[in-house]
Amino acid sequence: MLTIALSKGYLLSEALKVFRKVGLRVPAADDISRKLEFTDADKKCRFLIVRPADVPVYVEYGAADLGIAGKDVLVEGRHKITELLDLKFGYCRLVVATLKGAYRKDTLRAGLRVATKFLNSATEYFQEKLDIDVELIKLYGSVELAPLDGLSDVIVDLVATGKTLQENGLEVVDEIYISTARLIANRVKAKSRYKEILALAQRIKKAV
Amino acid sequence: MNKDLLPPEVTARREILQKITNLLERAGYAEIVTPTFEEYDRLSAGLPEHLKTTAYRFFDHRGTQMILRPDITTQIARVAGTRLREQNGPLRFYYSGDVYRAAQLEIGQNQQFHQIGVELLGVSGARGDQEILKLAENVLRTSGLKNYRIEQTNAGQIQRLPAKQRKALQRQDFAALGRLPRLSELLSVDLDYYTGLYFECFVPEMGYILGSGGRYDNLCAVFGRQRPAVGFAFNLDKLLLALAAQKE
Repeated sequence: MLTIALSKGYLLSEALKVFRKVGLRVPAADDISRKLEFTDADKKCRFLIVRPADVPVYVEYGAADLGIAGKDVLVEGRHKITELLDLKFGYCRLVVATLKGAYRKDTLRAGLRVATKFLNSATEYFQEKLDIDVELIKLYGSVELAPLDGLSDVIVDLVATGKTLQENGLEVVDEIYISTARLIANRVKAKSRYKEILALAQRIKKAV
Repeated sequence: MNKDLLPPEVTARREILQKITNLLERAGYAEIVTPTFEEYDRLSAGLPEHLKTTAYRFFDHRGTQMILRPDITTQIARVAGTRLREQNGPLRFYYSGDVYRAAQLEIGQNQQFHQIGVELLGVSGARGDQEILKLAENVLRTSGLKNYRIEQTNAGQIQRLPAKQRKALQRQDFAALGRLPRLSELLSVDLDYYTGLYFECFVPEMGYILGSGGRYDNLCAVFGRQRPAVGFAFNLDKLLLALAAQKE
């Protein structure tokens, strides 16, 4: 039996749809709200429901053989895992945003305060791509609020539709990367259970 | 974290080490003992980048920079190029000792851990590769492990791939490559170090490799005498953990 870690939240229902498409009898996202762990009706796979950022951790340590995580989480966490497939759902962009009209890409300057959940990605962007020193502020949520209340000049955050940004009077200044959900595997399990994992990955590839 | 080893565990370690060293001696390998620390300048030329950055370094009482060995293979290559320079070989060595690495290169790795490994110097190509692969398999069998696997690939072939493809392979990013991996592509080869055969040993129960090895024909030349070289190292703690997991 393969153990698969899934992200709690917006990726869950799409992920479960994929497993239903490949013939696994799994419940809908609404029916597993409180369960942290379940198996499909035919006991072929065991699923763990964890926080999105914890998916690659479960996979890296081999507590889960496979996982479904957003590319954003993988880029940020830098875990040693194998990325098998782009599942093409969960599209979003990591962007730099400011209050409307406050900055353009070419006026971003040293000393800016940047609020973000994505410290690694933000550091890489400002240091390596723009080569400017900024002050990073780690937040855990409602990042859009930071420029409104003067906590930061700029934010680095994920946007799907851009609606939240718009509602808060913010606009995108630059795009750092595009993220979609990925099927990931533990690096050793991918080898030691290659046949099982590849067979499932092939079925998923056809379904997405 | 590093830890104290207490009686039942120490006995288990000694027993498995005894089995493996007996096997290696019978296969014609002689034990070599190298210093735990030495002058950094004496060793640095042969250390791959990832070991240089994870090694503990310090200054001794005269202000000379020293290194706590992160690896024993590099020391053996140094010996082969200096004190044993005039010996034509082939040379067959095994070692059993602790190595030290500040950063975790793999999950669950202690900063101090025991490696047992072999080096076959002066036998090039498939003949040397086969001897080492067979010996690695014997180590796994002698340890008492079941369902062990050895998977191999070739660093030379990967080196010749187009840069974009090679980098995606190094990151293990098959989403970027747009296709699912072949089994041999799942091995993470250090291309700065290995020149040909590369292999990893594992069991299905464990999420990490027990040992790995391969051919590194460019290492010995750094220390003054070119010799083809192939070898492997096992992590003793991981062998013991795998054995314990299989007994459950």
